Amino acid sequence: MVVIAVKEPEKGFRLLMAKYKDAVYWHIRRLVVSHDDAQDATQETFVRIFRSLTQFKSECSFRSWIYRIATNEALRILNRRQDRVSLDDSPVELNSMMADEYVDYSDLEVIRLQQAILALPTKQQLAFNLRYYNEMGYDEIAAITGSTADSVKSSYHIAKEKIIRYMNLNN
Amino acid sequence: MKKEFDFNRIGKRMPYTTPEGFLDNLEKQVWEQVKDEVKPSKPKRNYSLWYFISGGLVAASVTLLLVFNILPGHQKPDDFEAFEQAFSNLSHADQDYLLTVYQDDLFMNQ
Repeated sequence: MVVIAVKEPEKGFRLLMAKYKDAVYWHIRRLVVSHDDAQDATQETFVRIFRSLTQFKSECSFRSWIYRIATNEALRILNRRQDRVSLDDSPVELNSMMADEYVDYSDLEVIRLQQAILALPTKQQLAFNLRYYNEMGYDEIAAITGSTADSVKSSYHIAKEKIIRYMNLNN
Repeated sequence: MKKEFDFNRIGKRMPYTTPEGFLDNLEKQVWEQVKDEVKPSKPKRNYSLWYFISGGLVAASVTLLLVFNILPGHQKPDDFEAFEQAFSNLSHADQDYLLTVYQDDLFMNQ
């Protein structure tokens, strides 16, 4: 895809968007919640990806590289909301389920699950989302988050336990 | 009795929705932003092939010039001088004979 995008930019761009636009948008949306913010971050993600395609080195997979850029854009949005977000921060206050035109509040259990996820520290959120929704392996998540597979595995299991506890308490 | 939470009950359902067709619009917006910045890369000229063909053509040209003796400074010796030299190397008898035979030759005396 990178080769195609360099030789035939428009064709490469269409392929890239067809394969990743949905996944990237939803990855960002789960982190930032607001549709408008997710849209901005997704747009910026693809602009950055396309501008730096020639700098892509196959040290990690192309998908990991894309998700890493998307994650950084999402964190940048969260950072804008409050001046201190890193993967280790707890986003309890800043990530509360905000009122958004594009959130369906009718299914309470689904809403509660998202609230439980959003109450996690960003590092655990990422580990959980990428494992649960994107079904990625620990190694790939580690490449995206700049961590180790063991650390990601631990974050995922802690996140899962916290979510179950939260869901049982709020049932 | 309180039901324990089970991830399978929810699966991957999410409460988030999107405006219709927004991802297609997003694709257009991104393309508008990047289309002028990216130009298709020009195919690389194969210089080794280029040099090989040029070298071959030069070698062929030089060979042709040598074969047909048309290189500057590589003039054919003057035919008449060679003939004169050969004639003077003959004995007087042979010279007289040749002169007798060819002095009335129509073509030689033209």
